Amino acid sequence: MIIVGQISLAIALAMAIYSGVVSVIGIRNRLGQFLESGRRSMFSAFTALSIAMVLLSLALITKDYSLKYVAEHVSNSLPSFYAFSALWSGQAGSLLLWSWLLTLFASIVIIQNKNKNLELMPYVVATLSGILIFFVSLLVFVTNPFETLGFTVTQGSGLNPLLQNPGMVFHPPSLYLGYVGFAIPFSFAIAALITRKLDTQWIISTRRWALFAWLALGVGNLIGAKWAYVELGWGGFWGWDPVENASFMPWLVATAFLHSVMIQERRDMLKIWNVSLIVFTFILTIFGTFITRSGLIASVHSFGQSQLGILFLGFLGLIIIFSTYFVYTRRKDLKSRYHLDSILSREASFLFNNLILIGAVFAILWGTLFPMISEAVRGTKITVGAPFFNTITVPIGIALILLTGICPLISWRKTSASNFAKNFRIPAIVFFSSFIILFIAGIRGFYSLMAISLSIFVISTIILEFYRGTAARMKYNNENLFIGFKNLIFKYRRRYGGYLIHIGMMVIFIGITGATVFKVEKEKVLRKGDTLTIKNYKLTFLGTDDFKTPLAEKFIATLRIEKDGKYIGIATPSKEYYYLQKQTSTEVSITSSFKEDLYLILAGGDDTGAVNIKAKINPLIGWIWWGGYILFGATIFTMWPSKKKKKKKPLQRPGDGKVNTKELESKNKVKV
Amino acid sequence: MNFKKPKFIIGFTIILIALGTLFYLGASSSMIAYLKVRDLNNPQKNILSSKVVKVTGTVKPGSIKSSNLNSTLKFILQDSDSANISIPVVFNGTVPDNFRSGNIAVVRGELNADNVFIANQLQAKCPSKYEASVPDKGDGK
Repeated sequence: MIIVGQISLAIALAMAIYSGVVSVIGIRNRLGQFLESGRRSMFSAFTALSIAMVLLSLALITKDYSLKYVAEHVSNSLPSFYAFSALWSGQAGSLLLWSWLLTLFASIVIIQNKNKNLELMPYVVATLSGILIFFVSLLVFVTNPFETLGFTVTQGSGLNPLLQNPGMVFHPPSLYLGYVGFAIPFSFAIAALITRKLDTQWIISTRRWALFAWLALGVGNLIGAKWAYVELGWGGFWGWDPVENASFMPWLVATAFLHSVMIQERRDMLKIWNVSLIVFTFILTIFGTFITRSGLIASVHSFGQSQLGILFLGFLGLIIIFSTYFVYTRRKDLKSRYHLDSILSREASFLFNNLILIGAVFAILWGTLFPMISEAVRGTKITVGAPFFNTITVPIGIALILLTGICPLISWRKTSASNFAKNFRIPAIVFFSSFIILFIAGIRGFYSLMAISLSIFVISTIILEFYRGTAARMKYNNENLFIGFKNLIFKYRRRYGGYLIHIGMMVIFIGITGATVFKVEKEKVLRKGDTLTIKNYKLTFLGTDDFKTPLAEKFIATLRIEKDGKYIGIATPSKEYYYLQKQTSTEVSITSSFKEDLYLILAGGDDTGAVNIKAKINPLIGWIWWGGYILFGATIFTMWPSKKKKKKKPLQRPGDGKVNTKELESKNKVKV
Repeated sequence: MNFKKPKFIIGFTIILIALGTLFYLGASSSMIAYLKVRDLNNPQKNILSSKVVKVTGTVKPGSIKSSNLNSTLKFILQDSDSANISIPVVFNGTVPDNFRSGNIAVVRGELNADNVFIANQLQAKCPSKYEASVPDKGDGK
């Protein structure tokens, strides 16, 4: 089985190299058969890596300790679910997953474009093969998941207890889906650059891929935040750790990309900007992998330093040189004939949003790299901590919320000041009233007041947009409220789905503000029968419990929770000692409600039965996860293929709703 | 692309100035030297004027003193390369699960008059936090 695994990796490498070489030959000599062969070998690489994936999963589940990777990541008593997840908890396994996903996506793209983008596709396949060669080479030569241990063990080292959590099972693959997903728009951009076919075709062809990768990366980050909150026992969810930044930065650039491509599609502008953004996104995903894998930057996510770092650095350099060369030599083709008409236009607001997002990325990048740079330059490592990132990102976040709200109020090309004022009236009233209400409710602090009331402002502008669109349909198409609304959002998925995504983001912003600014904390030593009161919660300590499971010994404190004098439940914060890893894992107890979480940590306990309990109230934190669900659902909705036949109207996009719905509708009726 | 319109230039300039200001404020207020234990009293290494620093070292085996009930933790942090250089550390707060004797820890705080390091932040790291090492059973390495 081990041999089969090693052979399938070798075959995958051979196929990746073959696919790259024949694609290039096919392109140079215009040989269709070579191109076809290149595409087929990508399928073969996918098959080979699938076999490797299945074999490694089986080895993990059956705990075949003859493999080094298995011996290092699972143990006898580890449940199969977590044993399977060990596939991506280590380096070799996660690189295998990376490569496999790349071949999977490449194969899907090849099938999708069987009769489309015939000029771009050979270059897309060649670019993807190039990326694949790098990753599979690492698997074959540097960190082979099928490396044998060479001696026999009866027990593996086991999975780190901190990783034995459902959140941690889904966090890495979700991030990988995002990281790898961006390889697709990246390779289309490269193909467009090489062929000088720099119209919107590459963007339209990869729009869903970009959105998909953006979603996966965003969700991956959210799951990571939730895991940190539930598992790490410090009550926070984001620490500006280099590895967190590494997965946050490409997401921010991709957010900028998703917005600015709309300007190119509409107005044929910003070509060079869009190409650069997607290249930058992809570079950041590789950079993220480099940070994670090199151990060069001090991080709590230290994965162990390895020689992989330097290889990733080399690969990163190659991509940067390669992409910069093509962007530079194609700069004339990337020039736009048009330019912005007015500062009060949607494209201008997108542009400002882009500028702010990229500014944020550079600030985060600087903060992440600064310890390394300062050590090289001045001989001392100087770090900038969370205060640096917060100082910059909080105002930037607020500015972005404001732009999110203003954007739908202004139209493409130019909005007259009077029109803008008219559209702005109701949302402005909403903004000022929520600001005042929040102030009266006792919320202080300019940033938090702004963040929450601006988020409400954004939500109101979006509701208004839905209302206007529906009303227009009711008036012009004689549809009733329900049908009108349904047709509105289903016919203009991208536009209204986008608005729904914004609502999800606003809910997240409100949650972040609440949870970071208004949290309350209390700590107390309790003996049986003692109570701890925090805000309107009263906790009564009922006693401790001690028992053993195959994996760990658990020490549990039981508390009775009363809220406003009413019994609402039992909390059981605990400490678990994992025998194999000789590590304690603190399991917090979280009691969630719409308004807040009651977060209990068992900080310590002694033989007399006394415990030390830390209680925290984290207001609105649940909104972050709910916002995430909205974001997820709305993005899927936006990505979902429309029933409309795309071939007839390749460039059809949501119009500015109200005016031309009737016109579009009548066209549709004729054609459908 | 053409941004000749003065309004755009003004708009971009405002954004850039705002970003620059935020950047400056953020950076100047949060820079902290990240030192090894042996460099703590070395003015050539500790180049910032602030007394607050981050120090990394190894938790001296057997030096951890903590009460189970109150969260004051005392331990000795020794230089990871030269074990004879060390400082006593006092920390108040939640101790990370992976904080252990012999592991690497990073503390943030400052030295008091008695040369005791008063930490307000404690991070623990083990080289194998997410990457397990080969099991030590068997005869190989």
